[in-house]
Amino acid sequence: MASITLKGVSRDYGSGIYGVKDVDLEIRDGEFMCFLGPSGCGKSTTLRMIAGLEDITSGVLSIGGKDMTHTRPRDRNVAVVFQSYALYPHMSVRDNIAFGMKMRGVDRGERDKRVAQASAKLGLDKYLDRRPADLSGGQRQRVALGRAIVRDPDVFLMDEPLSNLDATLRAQMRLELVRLHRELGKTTVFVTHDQVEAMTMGERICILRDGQVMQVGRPLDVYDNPVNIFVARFLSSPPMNILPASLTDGRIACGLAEFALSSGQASAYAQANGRALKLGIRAEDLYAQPGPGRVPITAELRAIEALGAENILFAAINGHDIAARVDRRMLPAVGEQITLYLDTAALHLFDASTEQAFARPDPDTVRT
Amino acid sequence: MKIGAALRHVALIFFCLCVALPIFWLVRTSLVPPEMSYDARLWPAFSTANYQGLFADNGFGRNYLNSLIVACGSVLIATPFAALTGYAFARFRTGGRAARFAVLATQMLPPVALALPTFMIYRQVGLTNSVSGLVIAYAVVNLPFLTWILMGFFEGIPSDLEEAAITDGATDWQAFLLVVLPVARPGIAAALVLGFILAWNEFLFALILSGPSTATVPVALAALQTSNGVEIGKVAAGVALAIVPLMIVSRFIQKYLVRGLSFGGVG
Repeated sequence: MASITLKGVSRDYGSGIYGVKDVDLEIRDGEFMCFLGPSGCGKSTTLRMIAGLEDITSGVLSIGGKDMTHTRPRDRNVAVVFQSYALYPHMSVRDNIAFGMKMRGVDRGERDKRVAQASAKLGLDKYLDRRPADLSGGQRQRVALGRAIVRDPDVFLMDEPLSNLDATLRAQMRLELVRLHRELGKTTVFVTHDQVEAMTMGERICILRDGQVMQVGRPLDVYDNPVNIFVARFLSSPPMNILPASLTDGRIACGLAEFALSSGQASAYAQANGRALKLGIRAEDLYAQPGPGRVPITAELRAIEALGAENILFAAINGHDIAARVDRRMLPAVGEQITLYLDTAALHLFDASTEQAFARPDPDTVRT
Repeated sequence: MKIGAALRHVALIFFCLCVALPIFWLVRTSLVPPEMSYDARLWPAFSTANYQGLFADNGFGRNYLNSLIVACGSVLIATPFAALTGYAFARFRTGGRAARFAVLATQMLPPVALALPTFMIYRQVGLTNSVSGLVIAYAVVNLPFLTWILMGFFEGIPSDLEEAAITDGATDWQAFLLVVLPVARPGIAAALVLGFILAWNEFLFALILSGPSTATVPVALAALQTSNGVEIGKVAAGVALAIVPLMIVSRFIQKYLVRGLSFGGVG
C-alpha cells in the first residue's frame, strides 16, 4: 500500500515567497496521477517534496500511511525519473541500472538477475555495456526508467520525463509508460506541462497554478467541468474561447450571438442571472454545419492551421478572437466571411470577477 | 582569400617564433661549453658540461627531488580539501557570499604578506629548513585557489545527479564519492596539474622557508647568481630541466581543461 497524502503542505522560500502553498491532495495506491500546469506553478516542487529533495516548510506528507514529512529521500523508497534523466555518465548502462540496488546492499547475483529482467522489459539488453553518452535520447530515457523499475519502489515520481524527446518518440513512450504502469501497478506521480500527456496518461490529473491546486479529477471530468477559466483554457489546445456575456431571463447575450438557453440550462444557471459573466466555448464546439441546438455566427477568417485530420480556424467577430476546430473539408480562404455554428448545449459560464465556473447542468437535461 | 590565408600563416609563424626562440636559445645555451654561452653563433660546439657541473658541483639533483616532493606532496594534500570545500561552496552555499569572497581575498594579498608571518610561526615550531614545512605551506597557500577552481567544476555538474543517487539510496557521502567525484575527474585533474605548476614555480616561500639542503629548483637557480657573476650555462641547463615536468603536465592540463569545460552536457 503506497497512497500519498499531502495535508496543508507548503514550501516557503522566505519573504512571503511560496513555491507551493497549502496543498491538500490524496494520491491513491496504484494510481497514475498527473501534475499539470504552466512553468513555475509548483508541480515539480510538489514532486520534489514527495521525493524528499525539497524541504516541506509546513504541512504533513505521508506515504503508505507513514509520516514522511522530514524523512531522508533514501528512506522513502521512492524512485525519481528526472527530466534530464540524470544518468551517471561515468557508469555503464548496467551499472546505472544496478546502482540503487548496490546502495541498498542487494547481492550481485540478484542485481544481475533484476538488471536482466528490466533491460529485457525495456529493450536495453544490447546496450548494457555502453555509457549513457553513447545512447540516443530515447534509450537514455529507458535507462532512467530501468533504474527506477529495478529497485521495486513503492512510488514512481517522474518529472517531465518525456520533454526532451521528439514528438514521435514521445507518443511512443506515453503508451509504453502507461503499459508499464498497468504491469507494475505502482503509485505514479507524473509531472508535465503538456495537457495531451496529462489527458492521455493520467487516471486523475491535478492542475496547479501559482503553487496552489486548482482542480483534481479524472481527465474527462476536469475537461468537461473545469472549475475556473484557468483550468478551462489550460486543458485544451487551442485554449477555450472566453467572451464577456450576460444572462437575462434565460437568454444569453455574448459578443458572438444572442440565444435562449434550454430550460435545463436556465434552471442550472439561475444564480448567474443578471451577473457579469464570461462565456466559454471550446474550439470543437463551434461547427461547420448547422445542427440541433446550434446557433449560427458569422465571422471573418484571420488565419487557418491545416493539421491534416482537421483544421483550426482563427476568426474575428465584433472585436473578439475565436478559434474553431472543424472538419478538414472546411478550408475557406483567409479574409473570407465564414459561418460557424455554436453548440449552445456545450457552453460554460464563469463569473466575470472571480472567474469561477457555474456548475453545468446535468448532461441529460442540458438540451431539454 | 589566399592572400588572407598566407598573411594569417605569416602572423602565426611570427608568434610561434616569438614563443619558441627563447626556449630554443635556452636549450642551445645549456648544451654549449660554458665559455661559449654568450657566443653569437647558432651552435658553436656541443657539450654537456653545464649539466654535469650543475649536478656535480651544485647538488641540483637534491633540489630537483625537493621540488618534486614539495609540488606533488602539497598538491596531493591540498586537492582533497579543496574538493570538499569547493563542493560545499557550490552545493550548499556554505558561508554565503562572504565566505566565497574570503577565499578569493586570500589570493589578493601580496605573497610576502603571508610569507613573513609563516616564517615566524615556522621558526617557533621548528619547521624552517624542512621539506615537510614547505609541503604544508604550499598546500595551505594553494588551497583557496584550488577550491575556487573546483567550485566552478562542481557548479557545472547538474545537481540532478546527486539527487538521483540520493533517491537511489546513497548517503550524501556516497553520492559525493561515487557520483560527483568521478564526474568531476577532469576538474580534479586540472586542479592537480595547476596546483603542481604553482608549487613547482613558487620562489618566495621557498627562499624564506628553505635552507641549503631543502632548497627547491627556483631557489637553486637563483643561487647561481654568484659573486663571480651569473653562471648562465648552468642557469640555462637548470631552467631546461625545470621546464620538463611542466611540459609533461601541460599536456594533461590541455586535455583535461578542455574536457572539463565541455562537461556541461552530462546525461
